[in-house]
Amino acid sequence: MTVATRVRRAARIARVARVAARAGLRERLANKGDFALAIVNGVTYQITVLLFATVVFTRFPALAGWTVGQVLLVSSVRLLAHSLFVLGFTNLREIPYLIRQGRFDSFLVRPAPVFLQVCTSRFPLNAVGDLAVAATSLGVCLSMLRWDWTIARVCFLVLAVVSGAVLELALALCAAGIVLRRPGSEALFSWLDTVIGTFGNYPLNVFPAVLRAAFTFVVPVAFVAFYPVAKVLGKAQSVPYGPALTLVAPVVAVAWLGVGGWAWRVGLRSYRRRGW
Amino acid sequence: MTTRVHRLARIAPLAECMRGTRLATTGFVVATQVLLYAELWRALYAHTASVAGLDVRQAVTYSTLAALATTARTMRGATGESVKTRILDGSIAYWFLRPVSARRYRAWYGVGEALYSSAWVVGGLALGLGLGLVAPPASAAVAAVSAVSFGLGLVVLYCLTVLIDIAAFWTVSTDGVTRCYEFVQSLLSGALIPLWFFPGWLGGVAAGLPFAAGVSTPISLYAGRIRLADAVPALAGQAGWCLALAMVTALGWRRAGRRLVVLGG
Repeated sequence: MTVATRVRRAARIARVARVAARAGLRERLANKGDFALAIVNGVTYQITVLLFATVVFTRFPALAGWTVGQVLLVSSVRLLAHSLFVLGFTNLREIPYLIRQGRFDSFLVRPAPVFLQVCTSRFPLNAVGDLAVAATSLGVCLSMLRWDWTIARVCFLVLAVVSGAVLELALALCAAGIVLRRPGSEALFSWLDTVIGTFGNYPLNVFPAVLRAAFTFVVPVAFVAFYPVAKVLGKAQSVPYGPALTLVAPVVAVAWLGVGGWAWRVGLRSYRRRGW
Repeated sequence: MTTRVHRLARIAPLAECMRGTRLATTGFVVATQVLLYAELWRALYAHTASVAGLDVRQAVTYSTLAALATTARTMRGATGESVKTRILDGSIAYWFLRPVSARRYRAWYGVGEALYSSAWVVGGLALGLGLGLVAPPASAAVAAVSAVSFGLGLVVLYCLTVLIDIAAFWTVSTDGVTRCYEFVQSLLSGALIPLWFFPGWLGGVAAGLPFAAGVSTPISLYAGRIRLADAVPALAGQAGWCLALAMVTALGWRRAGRRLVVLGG
């Protein structure tokens, strides 16, 4: 495929995404009350998570030597990464419903990538609320930390957020691949959401050895925020399994994206309409 | 009538058990959620013996039972049968054409759902007791009172869910309402954080709302946070919520029947 063909193809995909997103937004606007509640929902869900963390901070002050501001930075980076994921790819979690409604089958015969059609099937309104809470949380924790800002620090934080979002996408693709191959396994999406949303907020050091290993080597929850934030905070020496891990979040994210992409392709190939 | 009830109540459990993958995924999700939360609470209690009058054993017991009760509830939905989906595809009309009224159909279907999730709770409780995650009840009376309270809690949660369902007759799409309800329910029922960890005013407000009657009250009775001597007022409060919410849902169904708009078809 020539470069010009690739560019034309990318431009066409971008146009399809734009049109589909606009149509999705119009669909959500059809019911004004639900539209408003969907935005509020993003705020309320993340507030629940932060409230849980706040209760933990106030009732259990000793968190492996991490201050409240430092733990809040882990939560904020995770929240921002999650918001980016929600903004672009949250509809992957809707695949079971799309299959049930028969819409997924129609995606398979249209002249556009299935992944793109899934991602633009519904406008992700709750991303607005998620982003609002994430930005507020980051503002609060940065005011508590009173940092000297350097370009390296800002770049590293941005890279951490992007890596976190890519990791969430990769894990969601893995879950989507399993769901396409094995109907009935759709609870994996909410499981992932809960595990990353709840356990990605804390320093890995507070957990027992088995969970440290699980969140590092099995489901890479710790790479979403903990490891890169430990580097930014100058706590690289205190992390489990050595300071090198604080630098490799982008590499881990790309590697998992490869696994996620493979799972998605295998899932799509083996998908058979079986009825739900 | 009994056969009809029996058949309706069987729909949800049969659909959930139809696929081995579904059962295996539910088991995996329930087990990992319970174990992860138990480990989190143990880690938090590593440097302290008691917080808000709750020791690590009680905290892990509470967390395990709350995770069992809430996760088992959210894992349902194999049939995709809900007022919202039926309204969106227009097939809600059949609910009003059957020999069983829409309200009764939903109620008996809900009984099946409740039995299915209760089976996971009972199984998880037995396993939790065996593994030492859950402390055994202080006495047979505590176990009995907790079981009654759990049953009343299921009725309260069913009524609240039906109220959200009924809202779909007016709003058509209930995604926003449902998710807001999930937030309020998980926060104020004590499913995520025990209510006595809240600041005083918020804990007081939450304890007076029906959400706490669904989850916090039965688990607090089991864990000994509500003493046996105070069980009667707690159960009376739950029964009061059951009655009040049942009346509101009955009224809602009557209004919904008159309001029905059939889409699609």
